[in-house]
Amino acid sequence: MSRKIAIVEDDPDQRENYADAMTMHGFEVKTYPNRREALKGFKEELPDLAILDIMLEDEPDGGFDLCRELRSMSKNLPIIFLTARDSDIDTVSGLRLDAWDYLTKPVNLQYLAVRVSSLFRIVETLSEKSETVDKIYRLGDLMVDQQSMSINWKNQPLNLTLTEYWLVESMSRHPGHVRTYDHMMQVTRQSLVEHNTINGYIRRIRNKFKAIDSSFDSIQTVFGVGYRWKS
Amino acid sequence: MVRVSIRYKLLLVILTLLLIPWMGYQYVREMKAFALQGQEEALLLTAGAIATVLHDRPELFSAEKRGTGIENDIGELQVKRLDHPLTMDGKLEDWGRLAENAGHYSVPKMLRKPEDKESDLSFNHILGSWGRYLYALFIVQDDNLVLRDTSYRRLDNSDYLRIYLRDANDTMARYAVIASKPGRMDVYAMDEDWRYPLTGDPIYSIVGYLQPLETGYAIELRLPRTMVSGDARLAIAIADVDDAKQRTLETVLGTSAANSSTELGKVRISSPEIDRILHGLDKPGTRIWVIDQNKYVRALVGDLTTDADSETKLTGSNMKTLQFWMNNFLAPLFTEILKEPAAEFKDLPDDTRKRNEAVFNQVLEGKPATDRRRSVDQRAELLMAAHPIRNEDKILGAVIVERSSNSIITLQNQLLQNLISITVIVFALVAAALMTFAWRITRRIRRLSKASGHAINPDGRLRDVNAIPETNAGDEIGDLSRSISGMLARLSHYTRYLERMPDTLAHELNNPLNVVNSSLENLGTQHPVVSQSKYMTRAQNGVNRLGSLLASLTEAGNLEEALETEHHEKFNLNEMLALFIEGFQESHPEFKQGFIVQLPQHQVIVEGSPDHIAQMIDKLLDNAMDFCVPSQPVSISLSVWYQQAILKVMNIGKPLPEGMQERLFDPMISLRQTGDSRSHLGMGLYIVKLIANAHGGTVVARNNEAGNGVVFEVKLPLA
Repeated sequence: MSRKIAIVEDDPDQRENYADAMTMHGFEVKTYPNRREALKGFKEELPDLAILDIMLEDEPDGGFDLCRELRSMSKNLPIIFLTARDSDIDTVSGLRLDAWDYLTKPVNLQYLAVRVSSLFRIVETLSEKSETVDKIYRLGDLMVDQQSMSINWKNQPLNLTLTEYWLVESMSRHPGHVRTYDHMMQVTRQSLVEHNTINGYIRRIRNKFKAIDSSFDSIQTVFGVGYRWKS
Repeated sequence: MVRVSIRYKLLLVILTLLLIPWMGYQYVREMKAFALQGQEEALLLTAGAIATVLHDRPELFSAEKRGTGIENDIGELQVKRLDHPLTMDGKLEDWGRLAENAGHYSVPKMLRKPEDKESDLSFNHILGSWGRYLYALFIVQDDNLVLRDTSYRRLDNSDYLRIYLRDANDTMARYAVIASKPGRMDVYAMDEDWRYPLTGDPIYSIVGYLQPLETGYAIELRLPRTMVSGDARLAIAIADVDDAKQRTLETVLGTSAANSSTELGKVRISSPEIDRILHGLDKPGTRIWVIDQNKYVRALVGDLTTDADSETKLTGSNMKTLQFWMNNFLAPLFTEILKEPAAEFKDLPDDTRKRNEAVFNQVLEGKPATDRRRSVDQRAELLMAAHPIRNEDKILGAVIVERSSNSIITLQNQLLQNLISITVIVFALVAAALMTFAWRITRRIRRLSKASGHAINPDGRLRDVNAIPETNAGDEIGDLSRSISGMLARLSHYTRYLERMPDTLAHELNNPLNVVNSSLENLGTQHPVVSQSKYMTRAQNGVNRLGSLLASLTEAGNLEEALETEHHEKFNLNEMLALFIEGFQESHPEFKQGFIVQLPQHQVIVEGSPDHIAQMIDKLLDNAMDFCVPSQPVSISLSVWYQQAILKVMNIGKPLPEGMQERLFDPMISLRQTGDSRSHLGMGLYIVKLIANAHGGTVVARNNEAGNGVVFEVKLPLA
């Protein structure tokens, strides 16, 4: 049974391209040009995953609104935001919309497919509730579950997006070694990422850790180069 | 451009107020001319009125026979009409001013001269009449007063006074008035040779009184009017004896030649009738003459001189205290510029009569006439008006009224004083008001100008648009500041629009770019053959470059937002820089020539966002590497100077073109050669500046001293 993906994007060309790509990867795709039609569609049948553009026709924050409504229908439905600017990422974080991930345009369709697959795997893991021990490793207070793509710090779960998870996982896999910006760009699986974008991710990750543990300082900045996980 | 403040301009304008006194002066002069004319007319009216009273009364003029004219009037004795009787006591006080003017009324004639020396004798005299008496005062200058020695019978061997009198019947009488001691004198009728008295009995109807003076003596004399009534002629002489031992008569000085009875002077007692008529018109400062057809003076009352206390005062003048004070304050100035009219001046009727010939002739032809002339001593200006007196067709004589223009000049001076005082006060007040006004205006304009100057910071960015003052003012300055404020607001909108432009543009371009990108990807997936094509690769490269351009376009905008929200912390810039360069060198192995780093030994603590500072250094190093000539390293140094951390990044290479030092940090300014394989939008140094400014610091670029390289210097305040 193929997974159902809803794509809400007002630009028809992009929408169709996403749909084609997702279809090619074997997903069942439904497309909506705006919030109202999407909501109508969701009420008929909930998708397994939603890809939302933030700006929808005449609604600058249509994607955010849709996300809230979708979240009220299903708690665990993975949502991927397509954003055009870094400030939107902060908004996603700031509004605590519980989106699972976000991507900045221009979107690399390969990466999009990877993301979608990863998110479905997480959903599967969560639903099966089976802890496969070999997929879990610990590093001090850090616990990384590669199966469910989740991270615990001092036994408390962190609410990280997929990209954030990938970054933490990448750093913690080689503690004490510098992860350069170039490397981290690959990790984010986005086509174009500036240093500032990486800095922004790290800042948000640190904040999430600090929300649990204010003395958190395991992510070290290597100025001009990248970051490293303090071993 | 010569800079002249509004204040000084206004001050110059205020100076035009000085025209007011000039205008006033002109006005006062006009008024003076008008007043003089008015007074002339008034005088003419007075003369006319008096003439009217005297019209058709020939008896006033016929009481005595006609003389033959002025030339026969030599020795004429003018008798002043007195307003009170005099006492024969030798004191001159009761003569009043007449005594001071004694002698100005005629010139004494020498009747006998000493043979061997110049005579020292001279006298002044005055005649007056009151009631039934004729009075005479003789003030004699004589070096030696020789009194009568009563042991001699002859009377011509001492100083004495002679009276020559010829009555209407041509009978000649001679009287000697003589004193044996100061005081009451004796009077005798004398023989023709003035040697012996006709009788031994003194004459009591004539009273004389002698009073010695420092320079001689004074004789007061009183005769009954009856003795000199009608056509009587009179002369009075002083006989002088200087040597008290030899007692020879040396000099005789008289009011007329008096050697023959025809040469005796007429006695000009004002005719009582005319006098009576004129008496009521006698007032200070006005002199009224009545002359007959032969220009013979029939009556003369009044005096041209005015008393100090009767000076004309400006009546109705609303002299305020301040103005009064100003008048006093400016008194020295006034005495300097305004000539006070002479209260005292001399004007002899005898002399003036000749001067007014033209007026006399005109009036005696029957035409009223007016004239102005200087007084004889040139100290005052006199106005005169003459009006004929008629008797049917005949002209009996004329009334001439004279008055000095002193009162008018006094009036004019007072007007001028008041005018000057008022002008000074008004000038001061207006000047003060205008200067205050100018001061306020210039202050407001300066504030406005300062605020407008500050509205845009040195980078050309707008500061607070609402900081413009005066926008509530209701005048033109208010309009100006409102328009500046509005202009700034519009400029601010436009600037914001421009600032958002790259972001908006990137946004708008992102969507089609995304379409192209995703389409290419799908194309490649669906048609693997196509994805092998080199054109596919080139298209992908193009899309990537376009994407990175858009990303760098939005970078600055995103950075600005991030800088505003960024949490600041204190950190050691020294340590951070060391780590940064170490990492930078590792990640740029292609830059073979490497870096020369000079860091201080101590900590350099600054407050800010380390990530952004790192980003700033990253941009500076990128820039330095790009412009560095091969084989030359890039120098980095950190130092502390006056509470500021100074970071210098220097590369050897082409110096900055003239005028680029400032613009270099503006967005979209790049010195890189076009065709560079990497995509640059000239945002790097703009980001450096944004970060430096966000940390309260500055960044400047300049050529090094040798002129073969460029130095970027960032100054950050120490924490």
